[in-house]
Amino acid sequence: MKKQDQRPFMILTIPCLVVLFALALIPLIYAIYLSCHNVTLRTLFSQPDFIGIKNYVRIIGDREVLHSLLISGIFSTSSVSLSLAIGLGLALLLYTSGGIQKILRPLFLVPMIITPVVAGVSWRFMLDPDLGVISHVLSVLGIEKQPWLSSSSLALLTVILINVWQWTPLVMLIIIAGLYNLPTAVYEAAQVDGASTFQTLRYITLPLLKPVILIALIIRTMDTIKEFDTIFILTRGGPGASTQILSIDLYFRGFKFYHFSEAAALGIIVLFLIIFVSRYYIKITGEA
Amino acid sequence: MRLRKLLVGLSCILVLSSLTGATMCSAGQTVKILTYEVLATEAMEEFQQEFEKATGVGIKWEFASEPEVWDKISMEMIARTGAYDVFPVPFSKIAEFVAADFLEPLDQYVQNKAHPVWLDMEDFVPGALGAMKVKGKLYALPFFMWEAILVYRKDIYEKVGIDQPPTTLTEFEEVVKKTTIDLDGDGKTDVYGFTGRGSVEPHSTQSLTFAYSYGGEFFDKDMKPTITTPQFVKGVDLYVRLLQNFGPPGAATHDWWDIQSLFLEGKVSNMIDATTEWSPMFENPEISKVVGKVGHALAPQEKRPGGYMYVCGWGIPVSSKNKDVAWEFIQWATSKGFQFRGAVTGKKGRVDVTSVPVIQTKELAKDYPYLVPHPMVEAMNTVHPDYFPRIPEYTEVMTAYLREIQKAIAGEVTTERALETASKKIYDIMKAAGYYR
Repeated sequence: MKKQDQRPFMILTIPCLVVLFALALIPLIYAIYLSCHNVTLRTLFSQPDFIGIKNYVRIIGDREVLHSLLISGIFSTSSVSLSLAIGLGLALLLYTSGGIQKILRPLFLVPMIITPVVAGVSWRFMLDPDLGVISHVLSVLGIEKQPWLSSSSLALLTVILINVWQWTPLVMLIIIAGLYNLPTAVYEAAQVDGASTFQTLRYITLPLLKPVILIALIIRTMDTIKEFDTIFILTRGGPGASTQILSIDLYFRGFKFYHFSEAAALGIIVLFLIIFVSRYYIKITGEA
Repeated sequence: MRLRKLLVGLSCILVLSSLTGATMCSAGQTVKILTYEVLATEAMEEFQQEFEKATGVGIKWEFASEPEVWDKISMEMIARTGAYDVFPVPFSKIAEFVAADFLEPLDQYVQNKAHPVWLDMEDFVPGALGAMKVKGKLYALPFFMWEAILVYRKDIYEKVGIDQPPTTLTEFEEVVKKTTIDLDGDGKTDVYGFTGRGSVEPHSTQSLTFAYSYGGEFFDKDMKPTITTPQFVKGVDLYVRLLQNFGPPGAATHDWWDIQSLFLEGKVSNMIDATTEWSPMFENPEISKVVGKVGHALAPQEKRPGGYMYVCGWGIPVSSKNKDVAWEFIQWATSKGFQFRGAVTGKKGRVDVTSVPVIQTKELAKDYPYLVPHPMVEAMNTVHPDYFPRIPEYTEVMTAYLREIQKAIAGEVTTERALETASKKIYDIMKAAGYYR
């Protein structure tokens, strides 16, 4: 009887499983296959040699990959922490339903709505030291022209700030949604006990928001690890390799240099990295 | 039952109609072209009726930016769906396509002339045609070519008291220094003495013009990198110094469009790049602030000409299902008749032609007196045959080289150090590709 009850559910999940198999599993299996063979431009249509884990060993020992990993780490950590801090602040300021908040909230969402490639191209023009509007405004204020995207020290900071600008609204939106769902009774009790605004924030709002903040943290971390489009448009990983995060390294290996197998191995490593980080966060969420 | 009959009937109609459609398509009535837009393709669009009338074949263009074209070609190279019949083959990437067995060899097609006057192999600029061959086999026909000449601001030269454009690179450095000027006296540079590409794009290779001119070479006969030789370092170092000291801020990431915009905006005094393509643009008042102010001269040289050339041909992917039609299009698009009309009577005009008889016409000299014959034809005759090393690993090698040069332009490492690092990386790439056994 129990088995019969489950049949409709199983039938209904078949289309979903087929789509999942076609769009996620087949490419994944093929990527694993590719990463264990030696497929390059010259061996594109011949029988590739099976080389086991050699590509993985090569990738892990490659100094350029280690450099990309470091840049990815800096980019991800800085961008996520900044967008969480600013997003939390904005959410606390804008979640009440006052008049000015109603106008500001949709305005703050604009960066998130812009396509990343369009945002990248626009920023590239705006940041041009000679023809860009930002340099013009800064020169009016007496600040010298800055090579925002063409100096190694500034380029990484610039792409981090652009990423923060674009995705902080997402964090703000998630936290505002969380704030609306907080129980009012706790706040009433705090008011009765005479808690100050800071005490309410520190001991009630933030602990209650912890699961929501962790969700925002997971989403932003995954996004920043696989970030590609905006950085590619802004700097193509340069100057030198100063903004070359893992996904850009992978793109160059696979689609520009035709080391398909190496790129597949790097892709699998990035996948495991994302799974590992996400699992870690989920574990913390569970504990919370 | 009735429903089943209806469904069977409908299926038959669908199958028959699709078969008819397939037959019409296989007659090869449309040639599908994937390309980026240059003056040559704009002229082809303008005159395409000429081809369509003569052959009854339609043209379907698909335009994309240059990097996007290469991404699409990379995908087609792997998937081989037959989505395109013709695509651009620059001489820097030709070896890459040949190594992947993606380009149809054209030698067998040359005898098959679609039209009595379209194809004449003797018409092509020899250097341009030679660049379309790999190991003696022809894979594309050249449809545009650019050379590097010096474009300079006559008004700025006059202002600072320079009578003649420089002829040597040593003189050029002095000129660049003098023509970096502050026009309004506010203590800030308004016009930069020089600009060039610093971006890491496979074709941002203008530093090679300087290195070759000092006598440097990229590889020796065993394909080992020779970019740390004193003459190569001297040339690249000059390029780097000019950009650092007299170039616009942000030069390390400037690409083709950036430097073109800077010159059109009147912010640069001197430029040596694919300048024959741009010169007509500088005289267009709709987009240029330097109309009538631009001078043209042979690029200054030290021991020999820098030899810059960029040639692009039309090639046929092996996956094309309409190769014969594609070949008809290529013959028309490179014919002297079309090239002449595109250059002289076309709306925008073009000077990037690859046909010797067209270059020699009085009309071209009349339309572009500042370019033809001097200095364009002279530049054309002095091109470096291997300006872009024609190897399948070109993109990887050039990326390794340009990344280090970019760091040098940004002032993070010295030119010597950048070239040493690049040389090691290039050696490793070539070794992994099996060049040194």
